[in-house]
Amino acid sequence: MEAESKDKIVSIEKPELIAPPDWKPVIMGILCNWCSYAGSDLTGTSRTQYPPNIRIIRVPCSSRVDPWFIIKALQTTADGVLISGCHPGDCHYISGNYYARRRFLVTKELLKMVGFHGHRVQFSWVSAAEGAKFAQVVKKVTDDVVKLGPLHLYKKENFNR
Amino acid sequence: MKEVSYFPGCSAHGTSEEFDETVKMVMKTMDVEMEEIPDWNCCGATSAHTLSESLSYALPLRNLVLAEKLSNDTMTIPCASCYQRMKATKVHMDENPELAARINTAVVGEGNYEGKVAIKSMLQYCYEDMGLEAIKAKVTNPISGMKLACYYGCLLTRPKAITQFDSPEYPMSMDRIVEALGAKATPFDFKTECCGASFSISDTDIVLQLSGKILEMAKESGAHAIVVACPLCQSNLDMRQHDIEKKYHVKYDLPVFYLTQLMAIAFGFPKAKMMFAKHIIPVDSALAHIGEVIEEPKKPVKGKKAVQAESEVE
Amino acid sequence: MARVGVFVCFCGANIADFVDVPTVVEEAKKIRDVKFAIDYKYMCSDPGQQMIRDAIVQHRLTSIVVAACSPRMHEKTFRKALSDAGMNPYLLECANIREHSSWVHQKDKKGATDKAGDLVRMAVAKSIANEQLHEISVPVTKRALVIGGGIAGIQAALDIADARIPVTLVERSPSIGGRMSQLDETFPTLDCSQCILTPKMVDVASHPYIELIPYSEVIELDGYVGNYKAKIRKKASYVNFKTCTGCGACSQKCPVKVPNEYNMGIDKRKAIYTPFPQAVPNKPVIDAEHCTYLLKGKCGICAKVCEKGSIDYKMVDEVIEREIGAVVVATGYDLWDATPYEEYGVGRYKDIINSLEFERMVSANGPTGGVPVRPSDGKVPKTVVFIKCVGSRDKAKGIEFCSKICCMYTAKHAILLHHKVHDSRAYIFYMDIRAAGKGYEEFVNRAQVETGAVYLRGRVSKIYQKGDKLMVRGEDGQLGQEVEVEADLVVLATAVIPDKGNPALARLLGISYDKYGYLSEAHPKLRPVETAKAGIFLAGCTQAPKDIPETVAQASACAAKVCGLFAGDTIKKDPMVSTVSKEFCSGCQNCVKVCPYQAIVTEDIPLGHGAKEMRTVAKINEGVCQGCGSCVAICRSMAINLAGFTDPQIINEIVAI
Repeated sequence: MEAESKDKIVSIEKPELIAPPDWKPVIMGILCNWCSYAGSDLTGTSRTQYPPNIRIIRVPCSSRVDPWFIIKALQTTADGVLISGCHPGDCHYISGNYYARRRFLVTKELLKMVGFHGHRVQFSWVSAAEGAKFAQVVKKVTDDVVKLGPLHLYKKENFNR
Repeated sequence: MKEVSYFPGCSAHGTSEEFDETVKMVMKTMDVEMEEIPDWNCCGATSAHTLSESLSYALPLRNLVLAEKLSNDTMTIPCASCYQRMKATKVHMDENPELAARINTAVVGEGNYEGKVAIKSMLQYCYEDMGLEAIKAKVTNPISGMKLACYYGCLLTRPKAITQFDSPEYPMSMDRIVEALGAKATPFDFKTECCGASFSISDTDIVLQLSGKILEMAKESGAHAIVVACPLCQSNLDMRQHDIEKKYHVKYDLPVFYLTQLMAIAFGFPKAKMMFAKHIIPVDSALAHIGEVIEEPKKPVKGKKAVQAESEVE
Repeated sequence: MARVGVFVCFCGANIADFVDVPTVVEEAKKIRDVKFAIDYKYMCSDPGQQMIRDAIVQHRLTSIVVAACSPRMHEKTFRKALSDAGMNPYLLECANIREHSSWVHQKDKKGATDKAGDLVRMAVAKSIANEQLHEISVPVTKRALVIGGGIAGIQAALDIADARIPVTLVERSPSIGGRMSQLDETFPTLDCSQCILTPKMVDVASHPYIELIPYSEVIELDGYVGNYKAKIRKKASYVNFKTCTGCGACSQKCPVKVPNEYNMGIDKRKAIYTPFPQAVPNKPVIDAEHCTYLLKGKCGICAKVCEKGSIDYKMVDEVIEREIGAVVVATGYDLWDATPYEEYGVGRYKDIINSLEFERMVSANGPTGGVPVRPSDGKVPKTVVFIKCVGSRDKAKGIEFCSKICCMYTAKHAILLHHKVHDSRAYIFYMDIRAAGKGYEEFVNRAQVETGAVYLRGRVSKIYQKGDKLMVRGEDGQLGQEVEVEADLVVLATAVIPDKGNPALARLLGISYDKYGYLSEAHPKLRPVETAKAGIFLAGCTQAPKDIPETVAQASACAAKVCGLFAGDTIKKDPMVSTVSKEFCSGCQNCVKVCPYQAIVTEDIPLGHGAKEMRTVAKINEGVCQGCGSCVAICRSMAINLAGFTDPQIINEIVAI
């Protein structure tokens, strides 16, 4: 999903923003009920550990995710957003994850154009059997966002200019 | 004209000089220019990695860095052990950036490792880069009539994750090459069994036992000789053969050729240049089979025949 | 003004050990709309539910948040508690503080507690926007579809049909019977497989409530629980079953020979064939891939010898439709191809066979008349080596799981070998003997004592040929030394894998499957025969490796589930469906295009009050809607909302952190 090489637009975000010492990133996770939410439950059942920064919202299908949700999350509370659905071909609702993927790509391009770093919004496929993978995904997203620093500082820098 | 970097390793300049010589003949025939890595050092062999992990990567790494300074995209190595150490270093360095960063500090001054040179054993280079058809085209003196058991030993195709070449259990690349030379490769089940390797020096009995089994099965397969692509395999099977025969009261009389020796013969080089005098088991009886017609054994009497996949019409 | 009640569960120590529950309660109390918050040891227990019921009445709560385990676990339980207290059950929200917090942040109590607090806040915020919803009743078509005619499918079909519910049984091959029909005798009682199976097969064919469609495949499934529509492709058999008497003259005269699948390719069948003598239906089909007439237009012998004129070379595949209410999937298993075991010489040596091949050889109706022989030279083997766990329990080369049935059938093979070849000896290489089952351990003992089978605990490292023997080199772990057995025949108990078509079938049915291709049950312990999709059930080895008793039990369980589903005239459906606000709908019909269920149609309504001009708006059939929400996200005018997951609910959650 990271089509970084194709990027013509350079992020204006400054990764060197210095985060306050007590800062902990907030990741908004929106998971589909049948695969990724079940997968995240399996992560719990198998006691696989991951950083506690993600806040999970359950939706029936990744296709329910309105770009508005992503924007709203970045606008208000979250430093990063993770959307996760069923693997291609495995959608409980036949084809919903394909819509989600297309919609997500467009949204991400838009956000990058505005100046967000691509790592702030990520997408993954996690099936109901991939508890360990979910933990890895969360860890990666959290690490990426930690590297980028707090979103509100970035906003301050850019909106006050 | 193709160009390739060449890492001979210590045995090529010593015990397996005939390997080195014939590799050069083969490469010349195949229009490949070999460029020896300048100032190469020991690969670490079996000792380094039993002592220190870092050392076992650092020694080959220097050679890799030196190889990168040459303009060739491939480095070929005749010795199976050198090949194994170099390739293992490359695979681990490529897959593990932390290790790469740590080990890179050992070769400061020589340059930085970038991982741009492919590493291939001589066997792999012949099979993949030269190709069977090209080899076949250069054969002027086919060695037809010879029945050969191809012995790969443990390092040329294993472990699969490192070598990434041929099957780890039942490889066929060398068999195909000797067949391209006109010989017949016998079905040989012990082609990747252990020969005892460097126990040759510390515990010879183990080598006699293990190499003995390999010779027994090679003989059983109907082979006139064994073909190898590793100096240590050659020395164990050839040098220890008389001891094995004495210990187990058998007679094998199986000469052990390097693959490149047979290639050079097939390419028309005179036998005198092969340094056969260095062999313990005389090679003449095996080479005498060249030109014989091999009779295919008759199909066994029809019993409960296994069924072919295709359909047939009565 | 909302009045939310928050109930935080300790889940024994599961939550309380890693999340500071009292802090979570205190945090909850600080939220403006929370009027009541409390913790309890087990919220799902009866006293816990009673606390919720009491609080609803006492504190006049308008919505409830239970912070406990995953909603996938107990959402239904707590919803029921709400309705018992007279509250609409959909005013419940679950905060998943066990799977999503206490279990995954066990080394960070502060982090886990903060997160639990946030999850509660989010659930409270969402619950404020919750609306009263009511279950939807939909009519149900009382007919079941069973996919696969092995013992699982047969048992499920018979049990459902016995309850006087019509069943359509679809089988891919020309006859039902499946793998069980290939077996000789069955463990642990050694009763003949055919003898106990064929009566059931005949019952299927003659049952008034069963419609048997052999030689066909399900190609499409639309609809939803109680109201599925299946498309079934009947492959052209080129034989008119109505007039065919099954005399067999055509097969006798057919000149084309093809490896016989029923006998694992050990012998040959004809191009026009019945798979085996006891086949049901006992009518031949023409194998179009091999028939000379169909391929080249020459031959035609079968048509000439058929007295009834039943051969019809012009027959084409036919697609039929059935309206059904529930599906039982029973597609069975296959054996893993052991080619990756190169050190065994699989593929190079003819005298290495798999267990099903051995099974066919020792079977009385098998290709060798019940005597095992070496495929290479036809001799009867005296020393047979059985190797268990080939591909199973082998992460490196094969598959990680245990195939479950091999320990038992290998013991059976040792006994059968002894029965057929008295002076033979079996050597069995094994990792563990897993003989958990009624009479199973005794059966393995019998194999060891009665037949003198030599059990060697260890792996085989190599098989090589010496003369006409196969040398099997392995480890005897109990003696701690290497052993070599000179074998005449080697039988590999290769891993049991699901049917290759499973992933494609799963996609077609809209259910999920695991990494091996086994179809996934809804819950591994509590819902082992149901899938995540309502109305689709699993029986037999399509879900996991199983022996015959377990398969039959699961098939009967499927039948019970189907009968339960069909007990009333309607079934209840979740009210989480989309609705259109007509006043906002612009009529762009993007939602019609994205709906995977064709649940959205259009209707014309007056342009305004009393206006004569009409405009087109979307209309959602709530019986068909499955509640994915695709239409909601695509709607530009925000005219569609999905009950239970409305925009206000989700936005509330997002901003609540």
